[in-house]
Amino acid sequence: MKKFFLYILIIMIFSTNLSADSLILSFFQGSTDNLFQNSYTETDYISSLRFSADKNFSRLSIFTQGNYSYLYENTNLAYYVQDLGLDYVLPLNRKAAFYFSLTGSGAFYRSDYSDFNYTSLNILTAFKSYLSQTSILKSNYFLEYKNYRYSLFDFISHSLQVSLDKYFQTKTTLKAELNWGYKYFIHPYLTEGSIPQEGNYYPQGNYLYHGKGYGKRNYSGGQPALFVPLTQGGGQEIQNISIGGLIAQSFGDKIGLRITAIKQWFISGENPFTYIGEFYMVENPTYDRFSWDGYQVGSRLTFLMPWNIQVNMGYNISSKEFPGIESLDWEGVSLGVTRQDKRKQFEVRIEKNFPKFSLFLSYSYINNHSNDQIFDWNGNYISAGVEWNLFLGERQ
Amino acid sequence: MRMKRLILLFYILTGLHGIVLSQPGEHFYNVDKEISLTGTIQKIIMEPRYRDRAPFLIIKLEEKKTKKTYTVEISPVWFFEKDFHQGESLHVTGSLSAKGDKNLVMARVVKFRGEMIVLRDKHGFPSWRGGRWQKRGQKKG
Repeated sequence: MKKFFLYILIIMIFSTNLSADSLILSFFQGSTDNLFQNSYTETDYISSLRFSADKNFSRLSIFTQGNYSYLYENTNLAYYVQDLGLDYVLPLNRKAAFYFSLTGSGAFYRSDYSDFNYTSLNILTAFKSYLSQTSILKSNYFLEYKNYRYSLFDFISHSLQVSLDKYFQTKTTLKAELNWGYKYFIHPYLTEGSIPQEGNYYPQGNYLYHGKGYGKRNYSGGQPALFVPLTQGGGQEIQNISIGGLIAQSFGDKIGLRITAIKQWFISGENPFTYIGEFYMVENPTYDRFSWDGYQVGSRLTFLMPWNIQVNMGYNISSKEFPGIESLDWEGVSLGVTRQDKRKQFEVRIEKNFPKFSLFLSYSYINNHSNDQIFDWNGNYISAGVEWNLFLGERQ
Repeated sequence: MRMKRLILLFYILTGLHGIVLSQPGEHFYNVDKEISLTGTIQKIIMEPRYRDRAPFLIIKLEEKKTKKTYTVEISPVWFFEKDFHQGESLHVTGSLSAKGDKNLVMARVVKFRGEMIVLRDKHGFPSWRGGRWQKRGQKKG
């Protein structure tokens, strides 16, 4: 018995410092009529279970979160993502501070998408300073390294952002920002000697199709190939720059409206993959913030309804060109033009916070017009969820 | 014995002992002294509030009706996530501090620009977390 209480004492001493300050459990149920975000419409239902916890040690906090998603129709696409990291806030004075975070992540998909399994390391440093009580200067640097199971996608990227805002007595905020990004695919090409003998690879000109056993994009009875890497030299790195602006107008504390715009240019390089399939919720190595040249304009209205129900509505349009990615016909043959997409997206999200949990409901509609017919699509996405908040730390 | 071990395991996993053992600091959230007020932001600063904790985002808020100025404690991490400015309208629900600064409010819920930010649960336990801000760097598209 004495031994038992000794164990309790030891565990309590250690776990006083190790137990979480907060634990959040979430469950989301979603449905979509276009899972793969292309012209082959595929309906599916997704259940996601998520947890996140953190522990604060003075200015340092350690956090972790895990997310398991299950798909009902495409069960071989289920996946789990785990993050573990720490962050640190360093105040310089009463108006300025540095923020630093280091995060390690891992994503594990079931068989159909296991090529996208990855481990990653992210570093973020940020600085924020009140130049005056109505003007904020912010800058941040983000480094990301991703190591994929299929090493063709491995990359390291750097992003730098500087922004300056100003609030006016008319309750209007103006903000300008400048972004620079650089992404380097470490080894994006297949060489003759590295073409695997196993798996579903089919040569097509200078390309190799990899997927579920399909030599063409337009096979019958299922989805097209997942991605098409090049077998000879092309782009390996991407460097771009963008400028952005924001106008935000608040109407008291219950209504806010914001309009944002961003224009992005390629400075050098191009995407090394000629084509890559998309998948709802998977971070696509070529369809990311580095991959395009063009503009995005977005508007967002947030307001609080009676009973503190939060409503968030947004409408976004974008026009993007993807240097290095060619538009292909149904047979997978190049049309000789660079892929261009024009997208319209509407979304609405409703949230209600209760003392111990929150409820969410969201809907979005995307219309994507592309000169690559596979990517000429539209889709509806509906999601509902509940989030439990368990606060376990000290009451201050 | 087996039952005791199960209870112990549950106790450790849920971290409930943290609540049992917790000691109030210089001041703590008193649910009996909760108030709501709407005002205009006069000043934004960061300053230490608790021993062994990151400095807090503090807002000086002038209540619209009474013109009284309140010192509102927000949280540590939100300093980076939300951009408050002098002159903005803010609605705060929180606990009036029991001692020291009589007009100190420990915010539980903040509303501004049509958003509602829940900083603590109804008992005053904080809900701010580390690691939130870094997610901004991982947006798709």
